Amino acid sequence: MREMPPLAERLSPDTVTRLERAGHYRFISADILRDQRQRLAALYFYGYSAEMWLSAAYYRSAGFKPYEHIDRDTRHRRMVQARQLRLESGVFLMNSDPHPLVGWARFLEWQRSLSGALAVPDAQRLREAVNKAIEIYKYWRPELRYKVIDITDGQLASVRRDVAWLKDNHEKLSEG
Amino acid sequence: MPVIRGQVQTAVITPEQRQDVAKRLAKELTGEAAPGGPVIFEIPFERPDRFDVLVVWDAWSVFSPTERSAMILAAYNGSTLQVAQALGVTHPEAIEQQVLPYSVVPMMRRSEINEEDVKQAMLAEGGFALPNGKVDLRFPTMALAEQAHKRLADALPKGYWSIVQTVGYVQ
Repeated sequence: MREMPPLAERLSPDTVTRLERAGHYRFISADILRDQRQRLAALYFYGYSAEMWLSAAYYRSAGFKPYEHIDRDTRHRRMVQARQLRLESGVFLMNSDPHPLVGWARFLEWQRSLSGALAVPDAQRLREAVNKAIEIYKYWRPELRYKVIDITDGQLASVRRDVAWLKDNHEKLSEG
Repeated sequence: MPVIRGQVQTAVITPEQRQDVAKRLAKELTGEAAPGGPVIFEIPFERPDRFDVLVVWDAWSVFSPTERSAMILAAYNGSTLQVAQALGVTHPEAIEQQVLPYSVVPMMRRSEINEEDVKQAMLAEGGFALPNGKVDLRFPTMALAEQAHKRLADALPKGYWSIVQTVGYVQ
């Protein structure tokens, strides 16, 4: 019998395309769980979908080609930079949360602004992405996997709406 | 109850200081290494013309992250390389933020080799001289660490060198 290599050995490095596909499939999985009334699990997956869409948009806007490898060190250096930079208010773009949804949204906004003055619709869209990330992060945390708490239909619907917005606006958010 | 008032601590950087740092960075890029100068890592991507540039230098301590990046980009202005990311950190920041997770460490007995030769070889590879007299040789990627490891093993064949990875990334 042919021996299958362990799954961990078959996990290839991230690319923009793989992040986008992961964002897409986590969203589909979340919808299935929502239909089965597994609200907490659905919320958990919606949050990861948001993280994938936002980080993919950042990498795309930073000039990464669709199939260019993004290894751990590369990702780490980006997060270090985002954790050094501050908003005008003095707040860091990205905090030390391990899955910083809001940080990715702000870092994306910063990256897009590097190429010069943004058109008003683009600036508004990027601001809206930050707002959506803030809203999602009110309900979502990676720690949800350890928890057993009640999520209401309303909360789930709100998170789903915001993640769907990130998904639907992904291309325009990424344009660098 | 006491009133504890924080002091605003903003480093004042003169234009001369800024110019001096920019000049030293530019010199280092042309290959004119100077003691206490920056260690510059050009980290390639799959596309040969695109690099991340990481500059580790304690002179950055008074500059904001935005200024550091701008100065690095200015130093590369005119280069054919496309700088994907320009990141400047001090040595303590590099350690704390784990941007240099791969250490190349000498594993040899004092009787086997002259300690000073080892230090000089490590400094030549971009090692950081520590206040305790030791040299800390670190790299941002395994590939760069392996290349340095090979050069060191060739230059000092007695004893051996090891690559140690700092673990601690948050997934």
